[in-house]
Amino acid sequence: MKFTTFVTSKEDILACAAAPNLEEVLIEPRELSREGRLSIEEAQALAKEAAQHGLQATLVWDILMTESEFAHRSKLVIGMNLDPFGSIRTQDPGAAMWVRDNVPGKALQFVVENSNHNMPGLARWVRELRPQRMILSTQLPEKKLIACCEQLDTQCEVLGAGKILLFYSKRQLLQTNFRNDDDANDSHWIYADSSSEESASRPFPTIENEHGTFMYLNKDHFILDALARLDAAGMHTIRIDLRDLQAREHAAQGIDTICAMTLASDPALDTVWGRPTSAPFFKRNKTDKQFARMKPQTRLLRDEKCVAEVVSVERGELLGLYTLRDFNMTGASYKFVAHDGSELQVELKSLSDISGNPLTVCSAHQIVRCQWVKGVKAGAILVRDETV
Amino acid sequence: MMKPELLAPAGSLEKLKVAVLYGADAVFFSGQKYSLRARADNFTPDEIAEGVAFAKRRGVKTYITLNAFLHDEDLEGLGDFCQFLDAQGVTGVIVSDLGVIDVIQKSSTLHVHLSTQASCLNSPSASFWKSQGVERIVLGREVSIREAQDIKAACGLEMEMFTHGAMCMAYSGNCVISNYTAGRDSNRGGCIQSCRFQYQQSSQNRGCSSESFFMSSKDMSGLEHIPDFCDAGIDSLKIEGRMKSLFYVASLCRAYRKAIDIYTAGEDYAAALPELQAEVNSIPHRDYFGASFSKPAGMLSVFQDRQGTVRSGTHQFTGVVLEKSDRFAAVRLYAPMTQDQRIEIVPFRGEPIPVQATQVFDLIGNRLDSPRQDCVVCIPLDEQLAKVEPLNIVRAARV
Repeated sequence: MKFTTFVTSKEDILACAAAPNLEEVLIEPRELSREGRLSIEEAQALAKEAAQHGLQATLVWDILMTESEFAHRSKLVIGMNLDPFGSIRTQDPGAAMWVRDNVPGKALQFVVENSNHNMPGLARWVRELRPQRMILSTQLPEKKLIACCEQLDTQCEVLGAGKILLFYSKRQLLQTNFRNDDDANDSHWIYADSSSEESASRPFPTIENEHGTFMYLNKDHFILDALARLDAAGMHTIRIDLRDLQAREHAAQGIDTICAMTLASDPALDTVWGRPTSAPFFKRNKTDKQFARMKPQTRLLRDEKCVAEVVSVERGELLGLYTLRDFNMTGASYKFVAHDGSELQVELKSLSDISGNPLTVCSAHQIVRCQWVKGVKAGAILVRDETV
Repeated sequence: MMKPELLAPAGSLEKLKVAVLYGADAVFFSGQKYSLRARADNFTPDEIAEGVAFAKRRGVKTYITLNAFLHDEDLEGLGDFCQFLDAQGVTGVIVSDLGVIDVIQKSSTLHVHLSTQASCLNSPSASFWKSQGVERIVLGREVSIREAQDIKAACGLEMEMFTHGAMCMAYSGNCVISNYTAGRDSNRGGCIQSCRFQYQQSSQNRGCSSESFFMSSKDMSGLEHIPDFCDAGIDSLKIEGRMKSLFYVASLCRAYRKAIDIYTAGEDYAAALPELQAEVNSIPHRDYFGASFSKPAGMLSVFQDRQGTVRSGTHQFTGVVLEKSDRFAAVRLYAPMTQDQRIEIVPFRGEPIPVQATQVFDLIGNRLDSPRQDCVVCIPLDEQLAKVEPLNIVRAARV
């Protein structure tokens, strides 16, 4: 298992060169990367520096781009000296296609971090884009990550430690509140902590730069102390993101220590990490479990047995039903089902239309009056009861 | 001139019918699984069959949303569901996830449209999706009309753009706040709308603090841009809002139906615009803005007010006509009425019919002075109300 990390300085390169099992560095030009700070020239120089220390440089081009932006950014890439870079990392499928078609000598690394969580989809991305590596989601539990390593016909990478991106917007959302024309040094960057009414104790780090606004979880993802099974399954690369844990001119100071401690399964590892940590989905992902409780119980009962909905209750007098399909009163039993799922069996009596004409057969989409039934409220449904 | 399709949301069977009757060319809705609106009523298989049949009888297309990003265990039953949809004759499915596309293509002959949730923003991306069998792209809302035209020219696919409704502040599919803060997967239908919360903020490098709704977007309205959409050859104009009311669906279908028809008929669109805008202002909404239709959404696209101050609209949704007899129109009330209230019954075509509700009755025949909501009232028909039809919307101007 290898490590990879971001670099922004020569000192970072030296730290990476000293790190065990680290053979690749991630270089982010300002104009191509979500959090890039380097000019194109600085990025190229750093890639050369990396090569001199035996490290492969990966060009990070992970912004999403509309058509006109894409034209501009792809021209920049074409104009770059890509020789010192071994691979290019993209999230936008358009950029991935473009790299495959226009820079055939460079390996593609494809980011599927937020929303590609099933094997047929992941396998098809691999089949169609032929990437050198897939950057997998931190929402995949360990069991699925292992399956990816075993079944995908390419290298797999996952975040081992570092910040979790929650939100990526093209819009620049902080400058309304924090614009400051005097700030010359870091004028494109605004850093804030954002706490919502619902998460007052959890301020989320938020950044605005030329690419938009990014919000991160208040805790870093951290699985460096639980890599044994992933390693055994063949996880190719673990990414360690130290960018926000040090002075902004560096991004990888201390990476040699972290890598060494990880490989040694040093129990002090989590205590040396500079921020609170979490790995909420590493054991299991249950983010769909609440869905069943989000709907009225009656919703799924609206099948062919559901014949009407209660639309009016005249207390002590009658109920108004709106029929959803044709139904016959004779030879069938019916029950009302309330929003909460409670049921009330009834014998419907005194059926009539809105003009007062008696009915035994009801047509769809008409209002039918029947006797008042205590406890039945508007919104309840009338269902043919086949248990009787 | 090419006439774009008007595509309306149908969060329930009743909304589907209202959308169709008020002029939609196509409707989108979902079954109980696989889509991004877990809290919407959504359709049972029976309702899908009825909805598709209702739409087909009127020449209206039906698209089923299968646009959640699914985990492996969620894929169970998807193939059977696709076969069911195929058998019903739905026009197409709206999908985000390549794995879902894989299952659809292996189990059915359904036409595949790419959901905006996949954030397709440029022509190389569109070309990739075309190579995967996608026939239409629902573009990301960051794309301008001009860019959409260029993407269409480059890849040859049909282009669909959102033209009205609420907006994600993030690139669609790139917000997982709900997942980490509420344990609900936003990309599987569990979004808790964290972007609408108020946030307390402090900035490390700007040295100040603030309290704002900085992630809450204004609503998009493309009414002013209908000529641009049509001239650019955009194939489908989509109204957002499967969770919204019958009133919303009816009002927007009416407004955008008229808008498209007026412009493509060569009539004076500028002259018609104020009346069309009045129609879209009748419903509750956040402040409108022009999204990124002509230039990227900027600082003024943030809706800074509290949720409670969402514009209530010029009209109140009073009810819907459920049935018409020879003597009465029976109206299901969604809001209480006051004595002698002036209401309007909004026909599927033509001007709203004003009604002074001096006499309304309950289902027993008792005269009501101030009917409550959640009941049915009968309004006697006169000559003016003879053309009222079931599923007409009833509204009242706010005082």
